[in-house]
Amino acid sequence: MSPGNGTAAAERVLMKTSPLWSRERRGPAAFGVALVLFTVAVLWPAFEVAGRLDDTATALRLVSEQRRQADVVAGALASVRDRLESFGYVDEPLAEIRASVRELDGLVRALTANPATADAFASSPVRAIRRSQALRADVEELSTAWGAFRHAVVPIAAFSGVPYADSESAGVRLNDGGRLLALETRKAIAAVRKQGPPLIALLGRVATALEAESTRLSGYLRLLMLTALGGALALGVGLAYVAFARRRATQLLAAAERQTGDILKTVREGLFLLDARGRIGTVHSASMQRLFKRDLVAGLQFEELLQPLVPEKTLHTALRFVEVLWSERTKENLVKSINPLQEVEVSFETENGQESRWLEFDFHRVRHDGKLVNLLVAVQDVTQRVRLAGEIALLRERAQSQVDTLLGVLSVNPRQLRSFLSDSDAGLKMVNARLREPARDDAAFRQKVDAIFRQIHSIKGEAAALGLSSVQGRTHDFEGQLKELREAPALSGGDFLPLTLKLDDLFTHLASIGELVARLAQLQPAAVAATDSRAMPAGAAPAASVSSPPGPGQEDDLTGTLRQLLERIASARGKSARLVATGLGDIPDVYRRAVKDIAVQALRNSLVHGLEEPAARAGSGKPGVGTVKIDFRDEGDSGFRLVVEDDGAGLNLSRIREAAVERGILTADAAARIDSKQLLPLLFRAGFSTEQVADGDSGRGVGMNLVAELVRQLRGRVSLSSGEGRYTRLSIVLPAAAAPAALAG
Amino acid sequence: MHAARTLKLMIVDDSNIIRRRIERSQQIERLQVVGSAANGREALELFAQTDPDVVTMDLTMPEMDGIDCVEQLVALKPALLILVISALADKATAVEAISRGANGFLCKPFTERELNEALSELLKDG
Amino acid sequence: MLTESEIRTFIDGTVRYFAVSAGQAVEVGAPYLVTDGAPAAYDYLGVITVSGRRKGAVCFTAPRSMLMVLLMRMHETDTGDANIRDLVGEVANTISGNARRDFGREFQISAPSVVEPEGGKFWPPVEARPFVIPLNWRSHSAKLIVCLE
Repeated sequence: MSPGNGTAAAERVLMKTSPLWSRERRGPAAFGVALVLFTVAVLWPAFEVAGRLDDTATALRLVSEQRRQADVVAGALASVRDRLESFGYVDEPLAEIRASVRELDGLVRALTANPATADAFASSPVRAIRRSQALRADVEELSTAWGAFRHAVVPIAAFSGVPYADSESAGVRLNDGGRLLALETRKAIAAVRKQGPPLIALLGRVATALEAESTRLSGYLRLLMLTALGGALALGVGLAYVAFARRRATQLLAAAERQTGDILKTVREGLFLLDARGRIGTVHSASMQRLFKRDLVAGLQFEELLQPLVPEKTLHTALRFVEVLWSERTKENLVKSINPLQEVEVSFETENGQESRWLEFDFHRVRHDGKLVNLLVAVQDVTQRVRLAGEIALLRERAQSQVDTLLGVLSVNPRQLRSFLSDSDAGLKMVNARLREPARDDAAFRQKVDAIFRQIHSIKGEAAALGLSSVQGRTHDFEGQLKELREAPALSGGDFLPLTLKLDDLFTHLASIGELVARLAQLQPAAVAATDSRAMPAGAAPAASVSSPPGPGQEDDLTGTLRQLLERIASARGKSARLVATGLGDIPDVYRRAVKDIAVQALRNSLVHGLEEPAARAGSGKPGVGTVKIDFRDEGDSGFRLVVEDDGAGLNLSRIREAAVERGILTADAAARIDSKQLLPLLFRAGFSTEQVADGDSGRGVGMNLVAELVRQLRGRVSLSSGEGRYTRLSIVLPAAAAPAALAG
Repeated sequence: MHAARTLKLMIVDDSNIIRRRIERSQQIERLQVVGSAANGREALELFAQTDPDVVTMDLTMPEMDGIDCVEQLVALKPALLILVISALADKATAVEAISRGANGFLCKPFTERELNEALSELLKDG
Repeated sequence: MLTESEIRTFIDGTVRYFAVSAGQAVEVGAPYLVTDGAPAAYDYLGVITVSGRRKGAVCFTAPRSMLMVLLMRMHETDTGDANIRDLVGEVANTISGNARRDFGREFQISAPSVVEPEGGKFWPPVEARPFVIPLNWRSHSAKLIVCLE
């Protein structure tokens, strides 16, 4: 997870603020509100309207039923009148009149009663009337008209008894009551004829109005019902959706939680939240335990987490920084740029002692509604990165080699060692002088590299001869660095810095060897002075006797050095060899160093390339032990001659051809055509080697180049000859009058 | 802070060249240089005379160093905006300066553009 | 002993200083050591004394002609002695201050002091072998001297 986009996700993971979750929470609430609104907006009016419709229908039914009662009364009155004339039976029409009066009374009462007394849940015709101004006026008129009508009819209705007198003499005739009834009936018929039609008309009007109201209400009700149906449908769909969404949300939430858990379990970064009091939150990634090597992280103070791991000063700065993070006035960019824990070394106590790692802390401010609530901290182990960049490994290696140095020094003849130290010091100063020479272009830089290479190689050669592995290792690394520069496409001054550092290290190292030698000399002054020997007294250095060369008489230092080199390389390569050296004690001072360098390189070549392994030698009828002869002699006016010759296999011309082709010096065609005279000079070129892998003794392709360069500086000549299966001979002639300026270098 | 108001800028650095460079390079319209000081002590005196709103502050100076000076200036005027301009490039120094009251940090050497960006960042609200 | 990244820090700081302040890159030559004690200095020598985890000094030294050109590149018209001394001190201060990015706070540096090179040389306050990083800027040569133990 890259710190940039990863942290937003991490923040969500840690804060559990899925937006989906909050939206789904709101669903059911909205549904409840919708239900209440629906009830209030649709069902309550419907209930209302239904009640009104019921009232109106009841009123309409009443009015319609009683609408014909006036006609009934008129008919009954006519019937009474007719029956009185024919002395018919009048009880029946009278009863009809009374019933009609009762009915109409009931109607008017029902339409004019006090609505307050009506049962709220029963239908109430008067409520229907009261709701309309027009109806109320009509009903009042109706009441008046009915009053008048009733007034005319009541006397008739009130009659009881028999209207006839029956006598023998007169037969059947009206009695007094009957006459009065007849009179009243006539009056009533007249009155009803006058009062009846308005009453009927009024009843009709009321009925029509009620009917219209009823139609309107039922239309309205239908509309409401339709709306209700729609609403119910919508609610039903809504309900179904909410149920679905909630189910989905629950699933997603479960999945999210699972993912959160997985992320926190598997993420390699340490993720945690800090609250305002510097406390670590309960939710954090599992890697925290690994990163901080402690089981319990949640609930710790940040200070407690860091305190055992970092120095006091770092802790102080870190806590200071966290304070700054909480301060709202410090801007985000600024905060990022001053993070002191971007790369911090922490050390843990382990069973094997102190272990040190590098951690990278990344801080993010977490805001809710603009308010700073937490710090999200992401921690990464960047030890690998830091180690690669740094030189920890190198420093460690160096400490290790201190012991080797001491052992190496103890096994070397002090005089040889002193001579080596002074030669090497001169060589290193030469390297420094080469570094210092002004150079501003690539070619000049490359010349520097080659010149330095030769110097270092010569020091390495002698260190190898003396068995000073600490110096040999350093110079070998130095050469590795030089090789890198040689292969670099372009060179500039800064590229030489590693060399300067290695040079500094070599100076220091040689100085420390010098000190060691001086101290050893102080410890055993008598022994060293007395024997001036090649070996340290056995008591001081048991190893010394091993390297002490055999043979009688005193051997010169150079021969001793070369013998040691021969023994060391021979045993490392599984070869058997002896050295026959002559005249090396008589080298003029001015040539001493150069001859030593040349002899070392040549001897090494003989051992690595010339001499065969014992089995191979036996196969070609040679003695198992190979011989390397080194001879230096003064030839008078013709100068000095140095010859290094071995009785090995001779130069492998085909291998040299192959190497020349591999290194792109010759084309395959040219290599096949070229003869040995033209081929051999290639061996003296910088960087030419037939070995594939460089080790301490060969492979950099510097040795023969160093020889050629030394001879050139001394104005000498060099030649190389070889007999296949028999010998290789390097012959060098140096001028007699030797004081070449190049030596001062 | 109102965009229209002119803000007074005080420059503190022991190098005359740097002081002039800041004065020359700063191109924020509403910033007006009211003076410059070569060390913390001079800065406090100049502060009393000119009452600046914005200060650029070097850290490595003789007499009184920049961090102490930041602290004293903020105590005198909490609303003061201080941009530390120093060659000290380590995080601990930046944290120290910010926690003592500085509002921004610019590392020497700086280009004209870096200076102006740092100043506008400093003057931005929030 | 100094590590590569430590010296690299000073080199990078120098390159950055010239690129940013003078708008013209400086060319770094092959660094070398001074094995006889005191490196030669040019006309002006800005010294930053270092204490804390590392002890010693970091110096920038350059000839007057180069410093005058550098001042002009920085739009400074005053090329008098005082201003040149100011500049040398500031270069040394910036380079060593920047080094704290990598060395950390334990790398304590003094305010710059500009000294007369004694006998034309810089005499290091500690025994460590000084590293000289030659600098080529336009046609001029200058040096960064790092001497830390």
